Amino acid sequence: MKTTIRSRVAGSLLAVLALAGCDILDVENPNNLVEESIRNQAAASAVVNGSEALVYSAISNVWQVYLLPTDDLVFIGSRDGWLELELGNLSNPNNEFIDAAFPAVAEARWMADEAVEIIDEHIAEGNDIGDADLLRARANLYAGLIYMIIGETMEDFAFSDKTESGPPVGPTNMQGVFDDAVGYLNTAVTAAQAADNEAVELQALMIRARAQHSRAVWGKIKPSISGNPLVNDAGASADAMAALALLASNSALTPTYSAVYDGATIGNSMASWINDRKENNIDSTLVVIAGNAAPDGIQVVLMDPIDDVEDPVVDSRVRAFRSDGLLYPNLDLATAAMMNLILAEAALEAEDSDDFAMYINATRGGLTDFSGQIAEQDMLIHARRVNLLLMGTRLHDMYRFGITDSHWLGTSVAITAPGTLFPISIMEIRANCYLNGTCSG
Amino acid sequence: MSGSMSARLGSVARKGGFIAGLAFAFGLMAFPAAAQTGQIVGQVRDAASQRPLEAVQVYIPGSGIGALTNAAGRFLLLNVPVGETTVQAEIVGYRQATRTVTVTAGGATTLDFNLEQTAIQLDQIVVTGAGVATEKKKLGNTIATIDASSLDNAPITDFSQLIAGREPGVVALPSSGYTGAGAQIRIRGSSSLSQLNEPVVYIDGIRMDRSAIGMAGGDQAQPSRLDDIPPESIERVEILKGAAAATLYGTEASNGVIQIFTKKGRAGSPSFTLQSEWTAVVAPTGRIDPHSDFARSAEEQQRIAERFGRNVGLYEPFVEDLIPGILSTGFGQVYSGSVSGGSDVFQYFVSGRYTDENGPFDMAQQFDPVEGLEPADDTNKRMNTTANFTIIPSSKVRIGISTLYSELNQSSPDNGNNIYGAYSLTLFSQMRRATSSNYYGAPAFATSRETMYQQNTTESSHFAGSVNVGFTPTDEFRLDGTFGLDFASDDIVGYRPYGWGVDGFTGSTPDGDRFVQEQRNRELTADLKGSWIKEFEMGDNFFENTLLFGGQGFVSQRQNAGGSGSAFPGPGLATLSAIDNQSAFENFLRIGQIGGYLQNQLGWNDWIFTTIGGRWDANSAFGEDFSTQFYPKASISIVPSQGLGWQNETFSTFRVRAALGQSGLQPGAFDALTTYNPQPGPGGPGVQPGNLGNPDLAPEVSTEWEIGTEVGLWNDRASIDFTYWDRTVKDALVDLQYPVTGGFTSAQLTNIGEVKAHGLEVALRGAAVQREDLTLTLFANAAYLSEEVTDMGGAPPIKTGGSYSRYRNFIVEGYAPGSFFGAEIARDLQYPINIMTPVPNPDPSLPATCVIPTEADLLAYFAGPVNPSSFKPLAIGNSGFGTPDGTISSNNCGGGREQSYLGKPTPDWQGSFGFSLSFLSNWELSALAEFKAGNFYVQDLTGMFRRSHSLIGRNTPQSARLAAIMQNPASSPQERLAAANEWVREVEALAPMVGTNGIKPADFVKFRELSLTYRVPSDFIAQFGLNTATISLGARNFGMWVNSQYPGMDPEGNVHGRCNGGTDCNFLQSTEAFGMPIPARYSLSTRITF
Repeated sequence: MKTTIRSRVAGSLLAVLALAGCDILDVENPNNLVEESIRNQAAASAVVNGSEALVYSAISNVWQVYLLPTDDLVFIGSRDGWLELELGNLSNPNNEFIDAAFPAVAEARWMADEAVEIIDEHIAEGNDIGDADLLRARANLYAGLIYMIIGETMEDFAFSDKTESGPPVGPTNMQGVFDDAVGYLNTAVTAAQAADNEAVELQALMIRARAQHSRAVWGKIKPSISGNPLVNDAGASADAMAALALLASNSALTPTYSAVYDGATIGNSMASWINDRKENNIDSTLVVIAGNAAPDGIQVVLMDPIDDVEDPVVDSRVRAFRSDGLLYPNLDLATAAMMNLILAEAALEAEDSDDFAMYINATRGGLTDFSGQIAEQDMLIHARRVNLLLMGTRLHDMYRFGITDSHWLGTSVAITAPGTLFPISIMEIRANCYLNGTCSG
Repeated sequence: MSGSMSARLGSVARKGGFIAGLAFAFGLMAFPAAAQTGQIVGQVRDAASQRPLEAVQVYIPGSGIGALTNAAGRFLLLNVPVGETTVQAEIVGYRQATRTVTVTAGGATTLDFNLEQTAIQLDQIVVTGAGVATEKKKLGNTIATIDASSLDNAPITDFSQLIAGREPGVVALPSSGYTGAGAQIRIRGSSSLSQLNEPVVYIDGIRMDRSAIGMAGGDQAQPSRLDDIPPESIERVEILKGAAAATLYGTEASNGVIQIFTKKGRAGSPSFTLQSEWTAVVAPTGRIDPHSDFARSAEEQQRIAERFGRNVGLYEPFVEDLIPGILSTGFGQVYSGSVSGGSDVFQYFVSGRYTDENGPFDMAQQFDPVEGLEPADDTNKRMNTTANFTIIPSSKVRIGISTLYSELNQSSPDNGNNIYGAYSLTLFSQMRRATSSNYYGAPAFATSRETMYQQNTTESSHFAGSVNVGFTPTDEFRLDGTFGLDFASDDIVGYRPYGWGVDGFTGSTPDGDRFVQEQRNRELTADLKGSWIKEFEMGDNFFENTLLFGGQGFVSQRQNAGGSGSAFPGPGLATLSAIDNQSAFENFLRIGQIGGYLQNQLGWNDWIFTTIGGRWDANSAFGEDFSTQFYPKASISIVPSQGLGWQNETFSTFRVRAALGQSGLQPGAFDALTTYNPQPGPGGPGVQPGNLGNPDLAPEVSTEWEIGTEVGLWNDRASIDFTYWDRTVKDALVDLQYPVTGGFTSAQLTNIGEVKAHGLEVALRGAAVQREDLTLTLFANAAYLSEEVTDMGGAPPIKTGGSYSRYRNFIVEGYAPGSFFGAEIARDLQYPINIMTPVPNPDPSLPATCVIPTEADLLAYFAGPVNPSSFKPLAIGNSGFGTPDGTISSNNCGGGREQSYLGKPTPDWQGSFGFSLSFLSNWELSALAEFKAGNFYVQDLTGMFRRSHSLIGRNTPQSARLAAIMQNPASSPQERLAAANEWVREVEALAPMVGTNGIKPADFVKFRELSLTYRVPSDFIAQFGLNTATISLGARNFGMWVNSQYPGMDPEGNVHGRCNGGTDCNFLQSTEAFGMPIPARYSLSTRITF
C-alpha cells in the first residue's frame, strides 16, 4: 500500500518547485502500513494473520530457552548464553537468549491483543470483514495462546502499550495471566462454534485444556514446590474430554494443533539453532543423532519401561522435528495425547486406576498396555516425557516431580530454588520506568 | 543486472563513445590563431632540483587563457593577445610565480618558470564550502587539500588509500585483509549517536552514493563505492572537517564533506599517460598464535599421531602453525591509461583502468579438487573509465561534462565473526579432533574444507555523470548550474551448492542454499548558485565583497529486491527457481531534500576577511510537526603577514582564523512514522509492528567553532598549521528503546541527546634540505580527539551487537561513544577464583554475596584434575556503568559484573609522519607512517575465543599448557592452583566474564608507505618519443609496532568494514573478530607519458 506524505516547509523554498510542477519532498512508502491503515476493514485478516505469525515465532524462540535447562535438550555449541541455561542458571536477565526471546514474546502479546481489539471494533461497527466469527475465533485463540505461553515460561511480566510503560504484575500474580488466557480462549471456542468451524474449535478447546492444566501446575510450583505434584483440574479435564469427543466425531479433524513454519512466512528459531547451527541438540538420554543431514541417523536411547524397546514415540517426535529440510518443522502446541495425559493425571490424582490406565493406554499405540507393571506416577512421568517432547512442558514436570538434570550446577537456581522460571529481560528493565525506578508522577 | 538497466547503461556507453569521438575530433583540430594573437610556450621546473613539474596551472589572470603543464613540465598558451602580458604559475607545494612577457603576432614566446617550494600556501584556490573559487587565506575555517598528482608514485591503488594519513583528523578505518575490502572514513570522530558518521561525498559537484557495496557471507569484505573512482583520474580532493566549514552543505554535513575533483584536460596536443603496477600481497602471520593442543586419551593420541605425525604423551601440549598453510602470496595488477588535450574551446580528459587482484586466502592449496564444486575466491576485479570535457563556446560561458563508469566483480569467502567462515573455522580448530576428513580439527559447525565451497560474489555497476554550466555575463557576476546523476547497481549472491558438506560434518543446509539481492541506488543532484564579486575603494581602503546565493535539491532512491531459499533437488542447479523453501523480499526508499543558502564575504585590503551566511533545509524525513532547519555560519581570517608591511624572513607568513557554524544530520526517511511491516503467516498475508514513530522528529544540529593559525618559517620553507575545534551536537538523535512489552521492539529515534567533542590538529611541514642534487621534505601531522556523550536524555545505555554479549562497545552517558564495558577481574585478590557457594541475600530479589576462598579451600578444590570450565573468576562489582561499588561479583553472586569501564576504542592522538627525499637528480624516496596512541583500546575477540572457549578454542600455547596442567592427574594441587590463577588473570574471557582479558591498550605505529622512484633521463627516453618514464618500487603496510600489552593480530582489524549507519556501524569499532590479516603489499610500477 503506497502512502504519500507531504512535509510542511517554508513557502519560499517550495514555491520555486511548485512553479516547476513537482514536490521532491513527497515520500513514497510502499514498504509498510501506517497506523490508520491497519484499522481499515480491508486489513482485518492481515492483522489476525500477523498475530498468528508472531505468536508462533515467539513460541519457537521462548521454547528453546525454556527447554534447554531440561533433559529435552542438551548444549553442544559455542554460545555461553546457552551454556548458562544448560547449567540451570535461569534467572540472569542479561542472558543474551533470554534477552532475545523476551521481545518476541512481548511483541506477540501486544499484537494479539491489538488484533482482538481491532476485530471487536469492526464487529461492533458492523464492518464487512468477511467471516467475522472465524476472525474473532482466531484472534482470541492466538491471544489465549500467547498469554498461556507467558504464564508457562515467565517469572513475571509487564503489559505496556507502545511508549507507555506498564507495571509488572508481580511473580505472585502470574496466575492471573492464565486467567486472561482462559478468558480469550472462552471467546475463541464460542466464536468458532458460531463460525461452525470445528478445526478452530478443536484448537481452542485443546489450548484451553492445556492452559487450565498449566495454571494448576503453576500452583504446584509457586511460590515453591509443595504438596501433591499431581493436577486434577475440572476445567482442564472437561475441555480435554470435549476435544477428544470432537475429534472422534469428525474424522477430517487432525489430532494435533501445531505452529507451522515455512521459508516464505516465519522461521522456526528452535529448529535453526538445533538442526542447522547445531548449537543445541536433543538430549542424549533420549536419542543419539549420528551423521548430519539424514533423519535416518537417529538412535533412540530412551526405552519404553514396559516393553523395554526403543520408545517409538521418541523416535517419531524426533524425526518429525528433523523434517522439512531441518529448518521448518512444526512445533506441536496441543495433541490428542496431551488431552489423554491431562485426563490420566486427573484420574491418578483421584486415585482412579482404571481411568488412569485407560487414558495412559490411549497414548501407547502398539505398545503393551499399562496394567500396573510399574508405579502409576512413574508411568505418567514417562508418558508425559515422551509424548510431550519439545512441547514446552518438561521444566514444570521436572520441578514438580523432583527430577533434576545432570548438568545443573549445585549452585544454580534450578537446584537452589526449583520452580524458578525466566525473568523479565534486561532490554525491558532498562526501558520500563516501573522496572528501573524512573517513572515520574 | 536487469535487461532494462543493461539497455540503459549500454545507451550511456554509446553516447559516451560518441562524445569521446567528438572530443577527439575537436582536440586534434587546430583552430587557426587570430592575426593579433600569439602563443606562449615554456617549461616549469622545481627551482632547487630542476625537476620538471607536472600539472602546474599556468594562466593569464582575468583572460580565461590557461593550461596545465604535462609530465615534462611543458605548457602551451594559445591565442594570447599581442603585447605585454602577465603570466602566473601555481601548484600546491610551491610559491606562486608571476612573469611578464611580450607576445608577438603569430609568434611563439618562450617563458620558463622555476618554482620555489613552499610549505605554506594561503593563495591556493579552493572551492568546497566557499561556494566560489576562493583563495584559502580568505576562509576562516580549515580546509584540507590533497593534491593527487603528488601521489603518482605512491603505493596506493584506491581512494581510501589516497586519503589515509594525509590530513590530521581524517582517518580511514580498514577492517580486514580480504581483497577489495573498503575502509570506513571518519573526520573528527563521530558526531552522531545513530546516523551514519561518514562524511558526505561529492564528485565534480554532485552528491555521490557513499553506501557500502553489499557482500554476502560476512561483514568484512564489503567494497567501498568510493574505490570506484580511479586515483589516476583524480586531480585533487578538498575536505571540510566539520560544521564550522560545511554549513553551506546543510543537513548531512555534520561529519564533514569530501569533494573529489577529477582531471579536466588541458589545451594542447594530446598527451598520453600509461601506467602499470604489479603487486605481491602478503598476509602477515607473525602475530597469530600457533595452534596448540594435547591428548586426553589414547584415542586422541592415536589421532594426533596419524594426522600430524607426532607421538605425544597424555596431557603433553604440542604446537602446529596452521594458519600459514591456508594463505599464499596474492598477486595484483593494475593497468591504466589516459589521454588529455584540446584547444581553447574544447578540452578533454579520458581515462581507463583495469584492476585484477587475487588475495592471500588460498585454502584450496591444501586439498584435492572435488568434482562439481568450486572453492571460494578472494578476488577483486574492477574496470573504470572516466571522460571529462570542457566546452568554452564563448568567453562568458563554460560547460563541463564529467562522467565516470565503473564495473566491479568481487568474490570473497565467508568471513568475519561467522561460524561458517573458512578462516574463522580454521582459527577455531582443536587439533586433537583432526582426521583426514576433518583436516584441522573443527569442533563444530563445519570443517574448514567444507566452508571453502561457500561462494559470495558481488557484481556492481556504477555511473556518475554531471553537467556544469557556468555563465559569466559580467566580470562581477557569475551563475553556475550543476546537474548530475549517480547511479549504482549491485547484484549480490551468496551460494552453497548442493552437497557442499563434503566431509559429512556440517548439518547446515546440506542440500545447499542461495541468497540473491539486487540493489539499485540513485542520487540526483541539482545545484544552482550565483555570485557577485564587487571591488570598491573608500579612500585608502580597498574592499572586495563576494555575495553568494543558491539552492540545492537532492533525491535519493534505494530499491532492493531479492530472495533466498535452501535445499536444491540435486547437484548442478544454482538458481533460486530450483530451490525449496523460497522467500522473497523487496523494499523501496525515496527521500528528497531541498535547501537554499546565502553568504557574504567582505575582504579589507586583501588581508582581513569576514564571512557570514546561512543555509535553510527541508527534508522529507523530517516529522510532520517539523518545518525547516536553518544553519548559520560566520568566520574571520586575518593575514598580518600580507598587511601591516610585514617583512620577516623567519616568520615569513602568519595568519589567524576563526569560524563558527552549524550543520546537521537528518533521520531516515520513515523514522518519524508509526508503521507496520508485512509479516506473512500460515493463515496468509499479515502485518506486525514496525516503527513506533515520532511526529516531532527533527535533524540533530551540530554547532562547531574553531580557531587556528598558519605560520610560515624561513621564507616559508617550513610551516606550522594549528587548529583547535569544539563541537556540540544538540537534539542528538538517540535510538531510544521503549518497553518491548509495548509491542514495538525496535528503538525509536528521538531528539534527546547531546554529544560534545573537541580536538587539536597540528601539521608540520618543512624542506630540511633544498639543493639541486638533494631535497628533503619532512612532514608530520597529529590530531587530538576528545568525545563524550554528555546527555542521553534519560535513555538507558545502548549496547552494540544487540543481545550478543561478546561485543562490548556501549553508548553511555559520561563516556566516549563506543566505550568498552565488561567484566574486570578483581586482580587485587591473591586468588580471584570463584569456587565457594555464595551467601544468599535475605531479600531473594537481590543477588547473593560472593565468598572469597582461602588458599586451603583452593588447594582442596584443585586436589584432583579440574576442567577450567568448572570455575569462574571473581570480578569487580558495579552499581552502574563504570561505577565500582567495592563488591565482588561472579557468575552466581554479586551484581554489575559486566559494567566495569574497560577503555575507549578511539585514540587520543592519531596522525602520520614521513619524508620525501629527492637525490641524484632522478631518484625519489618517500615514506609515510601512521600512528594511534593514547587511551586507545582494542578488543581482541579472536584471541578471547581462542584462549578460553571450551568448544571452539583453548587452542593457543598458553591455554593448552594451563588446561593440561589443570586436567593432568599427575599435577599437584599447587601446580593446578597456579595454573588456575594464571587462567583467570590472563585467559578467561567471554560469558559470564564478558570483556575480561581481551580489551587491551593497542597503541601502534604502522609503516604505511614506502616508495623508491627512478625517473629515466629525458634525453634517453626522448629517442622513443616519450616525455617521461618512471619506475617505482613500493611497499605498503610493511611493518608495525604495537603496544606489547595488546595480544591481537592487528589493532586496525574490526568486526565489520564499510556499512550504512546505525549503532553497530558507528560504534562497533576496534574489535578484532576473525579477520584476515591486513596484508603487506610490495609493488613494482611503471609510468610513461608521451
